Amino acid sequence: MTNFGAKILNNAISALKAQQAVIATAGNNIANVNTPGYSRRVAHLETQVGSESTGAINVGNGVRVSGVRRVADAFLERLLRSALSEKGASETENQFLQRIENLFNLTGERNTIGSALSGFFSALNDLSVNPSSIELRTNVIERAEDLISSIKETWNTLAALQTEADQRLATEIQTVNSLTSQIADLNGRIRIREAGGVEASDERDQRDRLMQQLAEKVGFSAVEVNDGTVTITLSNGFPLVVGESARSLEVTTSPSFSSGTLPPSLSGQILSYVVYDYDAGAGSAHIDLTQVLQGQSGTIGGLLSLRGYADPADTGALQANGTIVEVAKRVEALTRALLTDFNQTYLGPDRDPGTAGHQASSGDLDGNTPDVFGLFDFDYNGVKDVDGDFYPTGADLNALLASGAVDNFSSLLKVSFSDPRRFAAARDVSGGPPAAPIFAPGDASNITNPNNGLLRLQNTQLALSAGSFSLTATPEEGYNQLVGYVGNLKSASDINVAIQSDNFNTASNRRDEVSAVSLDEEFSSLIMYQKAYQASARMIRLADELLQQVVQLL
Amino acid sequence: MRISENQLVRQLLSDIGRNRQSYNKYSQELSSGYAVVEPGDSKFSSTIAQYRQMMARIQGHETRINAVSGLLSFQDNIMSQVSDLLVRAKELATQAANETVGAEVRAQMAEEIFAIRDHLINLANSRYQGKYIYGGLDDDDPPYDIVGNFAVPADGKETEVYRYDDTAADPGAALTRNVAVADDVTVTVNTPGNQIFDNSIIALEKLGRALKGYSTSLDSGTKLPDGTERAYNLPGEMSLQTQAIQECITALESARQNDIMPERVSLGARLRRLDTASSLLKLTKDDAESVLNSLQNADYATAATNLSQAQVALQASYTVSQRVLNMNILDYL
Repeated sequence: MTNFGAKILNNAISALKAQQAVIATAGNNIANVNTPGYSRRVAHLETQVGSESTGAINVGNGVRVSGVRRVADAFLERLLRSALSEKGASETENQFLQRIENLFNLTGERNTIGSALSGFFSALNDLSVNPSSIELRTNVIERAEDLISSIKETWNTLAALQTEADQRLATEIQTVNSLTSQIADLNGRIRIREAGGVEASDERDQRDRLMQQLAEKVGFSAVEVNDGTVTITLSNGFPLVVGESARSLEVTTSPSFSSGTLPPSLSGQILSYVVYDYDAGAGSAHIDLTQVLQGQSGTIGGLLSLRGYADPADTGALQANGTIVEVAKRVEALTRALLTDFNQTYLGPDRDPGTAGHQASSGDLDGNTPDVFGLFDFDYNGVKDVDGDFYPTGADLNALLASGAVDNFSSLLKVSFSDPRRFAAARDVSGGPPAAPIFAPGDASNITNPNNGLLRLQNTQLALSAGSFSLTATPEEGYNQLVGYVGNLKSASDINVAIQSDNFNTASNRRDEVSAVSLDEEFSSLIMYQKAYQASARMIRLADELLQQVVQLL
Repeated sequence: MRISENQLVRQLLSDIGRNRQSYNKYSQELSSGYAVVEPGDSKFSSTIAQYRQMMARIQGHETRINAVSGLLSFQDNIMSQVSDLLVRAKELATQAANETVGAEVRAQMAEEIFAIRDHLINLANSRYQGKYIYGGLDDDDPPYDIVGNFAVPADGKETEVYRYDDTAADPGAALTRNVAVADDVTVTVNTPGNQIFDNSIIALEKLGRALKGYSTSLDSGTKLPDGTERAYNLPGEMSLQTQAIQECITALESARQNDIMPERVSLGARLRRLDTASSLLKLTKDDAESVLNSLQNADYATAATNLSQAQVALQASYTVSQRVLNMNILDYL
């Protein structure tokens, strides 16, 4: 015999509890409406299963909350993370490219390598009108200084950007380490809590959030295993997080895998390597992850593709890959043209750079042949000082270029002299062997000679090369090519940033469509369950009244 | 489709951001006048850089054309004075060639001839911006110096020998200088003085000496006195003197016709080439400017239209945001 009175009361009480649980869940959702990474919770109600004996009348046993689950879609989370990675990479690259592009202003109102080149040629041409004029000679020297300072400024800015990317890399790797260790920690807590069969919703929310932050830094793939932990691996299979342990990465400039010297950066320092240190600093065992990370998306991938990766066996700054290095190569190619073609032309056609101490066939205002390297010189603080004794020692520039010992002529460049009288505008007029040259003060044929004067270089196709870059073009065309190169990089990056930001919005929207809190929904459900709660409370009163009726009968 | 609060706000913010960007872009275009400032702003950035260089080159050529044309006009002015001097000297010589003019008067006329000679030397030693024009490439010392004396008389103007300084110690005196005034156009800016003045100066020296009563012999190889000069025995050798004067008239005329006039014609031709080069440059410059203008400069009409469109869009997105964000279910419950 079923006690319907008790049944009514029990069912009403179960309903009160269940509605309260749902209202509390909605309350929690509303509280977290703006919490980043929060996935809304849904309380699942189900009918209570009773234990009536067979044949008994079953009116049902009320309701119970079977569980509160977070609404999350692993696929959408993954989509969001990959969008975040791409966005991180493209925005980082764009920030740097914007600063690179500043160096190549097109308005003609700022001193750029291009405007300085034109200015230099123009000053040479002006001097040909009156070659013994000190003012015009001074102008040539000043324009040459302008050219050098714009090359130096461009180079030094590129070098500074590379260093900055390198330093930011170190910060980002620290962030990655902190994120992976937190994720590993959460993995542990999730495993323990979920062993009891309860979903660790809050921990999962946090972990998803951390994985999003990690995705901004570096692209990875994540797999959730049966015990609820995630395994995070880089594209080469290197695990960052496995279960409850995270492998922390290191940024170093002296990894043990190198055989001693590492290649210099544009600024002469050493580009750091991201490594995993097997035996924690004890010595030999390192895995170089730099190249793997360069291929990944995320801020770190972006920074590395800008900064470049240098093989430890490389010897020069220009052997590295990377956008900044590519731009630097094109600047350096122009510098080398100044040091080789310009200097050689400046010294005159009889100058044979292969022969030590060979007489130049150009002369200055006082009738002396240039006693230095040429018009352009560089400060090389290495084995030998170039000033004055570069050619005489027999080691010529080509040998130095070929040796790769100097990769940054652009930052070492200078004008050989500052005395305007020393500019060699004249060519030998003796007609005899260059060993006894004679010069006329009013001669400008070193500039104007139609076959091999300095001005001819403005329209001569030179072999511009540095590192793996080579181009046959006039110096000005070389600069224009550089402008086009930077412009294409930047406009492609602008488009990429727009696309990635759209992708990110779409991915976020798709994720939020499923997981984010909608106040409309929560308030509607609040009202719905409030009504149900009121109805259940009414049921208790009803049960009470029914009992009262029975009691009055007695 | 569920729309959550987050989505709404994100969507509105990203739309506002996009409209802000285009508003900003067009207002910058309008205020700076440039549609392209940095390489990434245009697909044609290397073309723009090329045209910038072309403009710089043209401006350089224009400055040079002005400088060269100043120098050549100055020389033209000198040639005109030289020509006048020679005409005057010829007049005097023609007068003196008449044998009714006595030896004393001829001697007096000699003084004016020597004055003309000195004036001519001054002109030949002219400087432009501190540099001697007629020294060939040896422009740091005067091209004409006194290089010696005639054997007779012992002193006085009539013994001075001015000759062009083209000794080995001052090289380059016979050479000229070319200046590029446009791509592929070069102009010679100087003529070595000996090609212009030597014959006139020799004729004037000879004329002055003849009028003073001295014969003049020159070593034809070096145009220097050969030491066989002597005084005429006047009046007995008056016809010899007159003959010498008449030779000088021919020489003066020949110098004017064969040295001075061609130089003037050549100067005129070079000045005209400068004019042609200059007007060609002007054409190229206009072309380059219009290309640059279309590639780089903001089109004010378009930019202004775009700006007001962007403004409308931005205002609309603000209005929409305000409405959407104020919609709240609580107001209806």
